[in-house]
Amino acid sequence: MATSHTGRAEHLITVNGEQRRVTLRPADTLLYILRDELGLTGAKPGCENGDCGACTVLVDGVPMKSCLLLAIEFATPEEPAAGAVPRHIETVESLDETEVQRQFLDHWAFQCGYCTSGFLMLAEGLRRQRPGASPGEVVDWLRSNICRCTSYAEIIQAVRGTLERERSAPPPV
Amino acid sequence: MIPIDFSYWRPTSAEEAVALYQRLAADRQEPAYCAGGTEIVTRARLGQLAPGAVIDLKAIPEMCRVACEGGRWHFGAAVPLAQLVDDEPWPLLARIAERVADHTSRAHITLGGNLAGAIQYREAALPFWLADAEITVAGPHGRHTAPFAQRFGGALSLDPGELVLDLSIPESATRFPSYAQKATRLDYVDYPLVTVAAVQSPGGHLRVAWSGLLPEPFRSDALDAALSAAGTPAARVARALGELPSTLVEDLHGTADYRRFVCEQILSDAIADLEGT
Amino acid sequence: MNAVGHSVARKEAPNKVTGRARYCADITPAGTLTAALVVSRHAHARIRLEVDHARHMPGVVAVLTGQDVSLLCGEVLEDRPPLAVGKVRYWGEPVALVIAHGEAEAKRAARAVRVDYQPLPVVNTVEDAIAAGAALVHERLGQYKRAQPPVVPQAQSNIADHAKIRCGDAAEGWRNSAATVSGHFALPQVEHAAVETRCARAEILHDGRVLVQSTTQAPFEVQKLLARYFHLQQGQVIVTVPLVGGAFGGKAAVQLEILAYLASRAVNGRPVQLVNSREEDMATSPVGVGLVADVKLGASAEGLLQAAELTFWLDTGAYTDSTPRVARAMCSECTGPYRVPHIRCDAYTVYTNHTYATAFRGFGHFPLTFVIERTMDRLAEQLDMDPVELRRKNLIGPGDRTPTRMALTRSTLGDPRACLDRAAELLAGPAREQTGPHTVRARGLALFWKTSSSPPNAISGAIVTFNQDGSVNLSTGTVEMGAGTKTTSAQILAERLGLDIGQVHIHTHVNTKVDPEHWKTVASLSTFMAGRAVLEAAEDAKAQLKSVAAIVLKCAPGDLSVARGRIFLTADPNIYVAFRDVAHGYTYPGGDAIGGQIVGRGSYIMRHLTLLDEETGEGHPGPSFTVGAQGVEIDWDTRSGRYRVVRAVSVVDAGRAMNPAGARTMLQGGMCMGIGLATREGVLYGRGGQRLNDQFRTYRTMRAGEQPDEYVVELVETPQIDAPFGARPLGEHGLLAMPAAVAAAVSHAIGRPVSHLPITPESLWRLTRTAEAAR
Ligand SMILES: Cc1cc2nc3c(=O)[nH]c(=O)nc-3n(C[C@H](O)[C@H](O)[C@H](O)COP(=O)(O)OP(=O)(O)OC[C@H]3O[C@@H](n4cnc5c(N)ncnc54)[C@H](O)[C@@H]3O)c2cc1C
Ligand code: FES
Ligand code: FES
Repeated sequence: MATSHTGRAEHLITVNGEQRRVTLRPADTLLYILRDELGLTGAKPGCENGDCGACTVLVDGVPMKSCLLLAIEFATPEEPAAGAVPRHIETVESLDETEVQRQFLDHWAFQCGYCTSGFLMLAEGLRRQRPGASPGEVVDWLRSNICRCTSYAEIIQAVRGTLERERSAPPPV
Repeated sequence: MIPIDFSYWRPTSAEEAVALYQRLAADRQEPAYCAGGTEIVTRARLGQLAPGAVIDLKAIPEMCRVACEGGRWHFGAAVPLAQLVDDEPWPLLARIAERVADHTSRAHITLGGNLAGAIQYREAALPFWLADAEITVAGPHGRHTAPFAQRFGGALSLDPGELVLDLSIPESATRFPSYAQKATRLDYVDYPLVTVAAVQSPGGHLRVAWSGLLPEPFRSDALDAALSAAGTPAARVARALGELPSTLVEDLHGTADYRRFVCEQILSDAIADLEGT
Repeated sequence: MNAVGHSVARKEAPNKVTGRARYCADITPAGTLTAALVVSRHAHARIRLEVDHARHMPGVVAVLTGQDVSLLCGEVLEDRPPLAVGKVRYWGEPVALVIAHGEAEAKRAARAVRVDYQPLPVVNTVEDAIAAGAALVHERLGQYKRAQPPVVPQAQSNIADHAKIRCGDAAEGWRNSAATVSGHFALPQVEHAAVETRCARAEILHDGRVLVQSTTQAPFEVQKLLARYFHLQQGQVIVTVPLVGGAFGGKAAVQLEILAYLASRAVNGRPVQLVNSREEDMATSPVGVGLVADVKLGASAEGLLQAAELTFWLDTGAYTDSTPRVARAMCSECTGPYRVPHIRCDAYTVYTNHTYATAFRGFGHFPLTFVIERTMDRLAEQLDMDPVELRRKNLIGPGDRTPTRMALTRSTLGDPRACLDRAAELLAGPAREQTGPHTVRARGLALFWKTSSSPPNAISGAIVTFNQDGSVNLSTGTVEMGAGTKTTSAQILAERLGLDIGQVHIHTHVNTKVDPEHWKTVASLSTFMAGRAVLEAAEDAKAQLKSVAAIVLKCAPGDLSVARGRIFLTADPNIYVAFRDVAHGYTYPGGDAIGGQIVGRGSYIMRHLTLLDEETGEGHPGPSFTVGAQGVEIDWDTRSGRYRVVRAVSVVDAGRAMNPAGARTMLQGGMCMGIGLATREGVLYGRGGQRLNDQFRTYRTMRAGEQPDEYVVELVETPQIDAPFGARPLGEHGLLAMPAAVAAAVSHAIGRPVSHLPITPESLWRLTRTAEAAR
């Protein structure tokens, strides 16, 4: 059966491990809802066109551009069907003293910092999905985002540093 | 921020989607199918598109499937390009898809969306033109499977309310020697100046499909014949170029002359690569 | 300790990696209305607006058009209506402003505004603009108010300003020249393309105060201009600026702030916010100037420069903004860092029907450097001389005079020779070498110099207060937009007070009400100007600390030193009193107290600078220079005509590296942007002046993987004596000579001079093809 949503209404969405109740229109982008309804302003608008990646968040662990997503796609019913797993959104606000943040600090991988949330989420997604990524793969992922301040070398080093740490970390017991 | 309002529908079968479309259209809701949504969202923001209802196709299981059945590979139309690259069921498609947009955007953009979109490059269509592909469309009059080229001649010909369900190719076609190249003005991530997909069929015949050269993707039997005929590679390339339409696209990616020059190089590379010369 | 000279991380860095750093559009109080622009879809046309329908749409509070606003604004020449009146002069120009309760309502209504256009002939190039009988972009140019002279408009033409340098006797210069070369150049306008788009919010309170928050680099300029345009007392206008997400000069222009004020005024003072979409940020808000230039150099047979004749036509688009100042900055250093006895330079600010232009990182010096350095390479060729040798021979030095006849010292100039020699060493190797069947490696090098070209009376200030625990608070008026200016100020204060950098607390945001004025956060001057003010404030606070401590410690203030949060006897550090015990008055055991709260004050005003003479250009445009040499190695594929910058080198005289890692990354970032400008960037207009690339999809900037494999950044340290710790400006400089260096390398690779930007593979293919055809 089709689910349908018309007009502005309240919905539940799962962000950073919390269920949040938000009022949204079906035409609202996820970026808009994160920022304007949920106060999670870490994700930034840079183009709202899919070009800059400043709005990147993780959707079930995969980096996606929140300006290209409709928030309504993430709405879960008040009483979800048995076994249904809500799609989980993670924003930069969920990162806390992680390796990728440390590496960005250590390598001076930002100046104005406006692109940083997007790059961090992209890098965090890469760490989780492809810890063994080759240098070429790292660059291919990072090409999704724009930084106007740094030379990219710093960002690439920070991401490689993150993956190296990930690979040398002892396996979880 | 999308200033207009639309209703959002998430059917779980193609038939349901088609029925919804018909009902909403009858209601003058101006419905639009939506898969990856990248084009719907960005064009609606800019006011280039104003659907009254959006029908999301991503909850239709058969559209999200990539599988080999009965000797054919099936590619659901709502499969994101990223999956076609990562799982690599068809190397040529993976090579072409991995150059569409950027890594993150490929997790959004779907195969069907790339073919059906208004952004005219539709690069993911190229391999299907070269592989005896079939396309299955669901519409008000049920499902129809047809040779890909019958439905796609640079753009999809779909009647209102029809949607692309899946595309398929014979399993053997995934193993044809193939060649893919995308040339841009300069940047790795950009729209094509010229994108080429080429295959060598078991008889040695070369077939080529192009994006970026004309306002829409194109291919030409005459060009393929010139390329496949006897002669030195240089002569074959020259003859093939002679079969290109006389007016090529002129835009901010490049001029027509330059596109011709780039085509020449790519064709030489393609021959060298496929024929090992 | 020892904060200066150490790679101290940005104070706000932890917030930037947690999403907690707040930028303008992140902070929107509830109840703020949204404004949306209606922008022109013609480059030059008479307009008629139909707004009634929009006005009555749901959620709409007001709709403003040019008819409702009688105001002309402009930093130098008041030529720009905030909303077009009667006609539009560029594609993307604001024609109406819709104010509504929500963003969706505002945008919907903006789309419902009908604009009827009656097209006028489009001035689409500098050549169009200066041709006889050209359509006029401004019919009333002669009547515009000159807000900040010098500016010399030519009525009934498209020439908004003419700046000159006349130095020596050009005729003699040419007589003394055995070799002459000339070059013609056409460089496109460019985008600042900060990832954060411009944004402004305004609110007019009933007590008369005007609260403005924006992404500006020039909060005090916003304050002054709003007061001037709307007849307010300056103190009524309070401008706040949170962190800025990149600026590059583009946020020094005052545009959205005026619109936001007008919007708020139209809705009884309620708060209204206006945020540029990316498309508006690129096509509606100002870009960097384009340049058409003719350059002629003459030299003796030994290769000594004798004469330079330069004509610059700056494509300022539809309005002047700061372009006349950019033109004068280019005139001031029009020869590049070389000694030329006879100079004639004319810089015209030319109106076209393009997006208007404002400052761009380097203030005209990247196009300037490009045209000079390319011509120097041509001269070297003509003289059959090594280009490095030619430069070395002609390098300007202490004792020489600049084109504006400013006498140079080692302190004001720095050491261009050291930069050149080191860069040449780092780029040693043949100019062109075949490295494979289809690959060529080529090298190119270029020099830059730049002074600030600020107003001669630019000021800065600093205030230091103490907390009860002895830590300090520092307030300055500089905006933090990525260059680390606030952190640098904190380093200077920490160094001078002998405190740990962690004990210096900064105001990250600027608030014109409480922070002392800093002219503008532009021209890479923050370290110098704010730094000087901070030094003075530190000394002021120290003197006060010592005078109280002297009583407590029963000695003369002169016996005391300050370090590590203590004031102690220089002769015996064990006799001391802590900051926390004196900074808020010293309390004796009996409860009685002396002294009081210590407030350190510091200020700085530019010294000995003068405006340039209108006829000769004579004057003193800046306190010092930053000089540097940059170079690249490229790999060129002879078959495809494609190339890649594989190595990029910068040797810059930093005076003193205050924060080595900070300096390095800032220079590297500039180099990356410079390579972007060299290889791919440029604003494009269609035949009718419509903008073709107003998105990142079409205006290409560098992305990961396109940067060189190796960056080499080395600093020379020739102290600028009057600067804090000797440090020279560095913020803009990484990009200045990169386009010239890339062009030099590419020229070597293809064996043809390259004098255009951007240097795309197609443009090279065209050059080499026409060369073959000519053979
Ligand atoms: C950042 C970026 C870069 C890009 N670069 C490239 C590039 O290099 N090369 C290139 O070829 N394209 C490029 N594109 C364009 C992109 O491939 C198309 O816009 C494509 O339409 C997006 O797919 P989608 O699934 O997101 O489409 P959607 O937005 O979901 O849909 C697009 C259109 O297709 C229709 N549609 C979608 N699925 C179906 C279906 N199954 N049946 C019938 N109709 C359907 C929709 O109704 C709509 O009209 C780029 C896009 C972005 C955002
Ligand atoms: S804001 Fe989403 S990609 Fe730029
Ligand atoms: S740090 Fe400013 S855009 Fe990346």
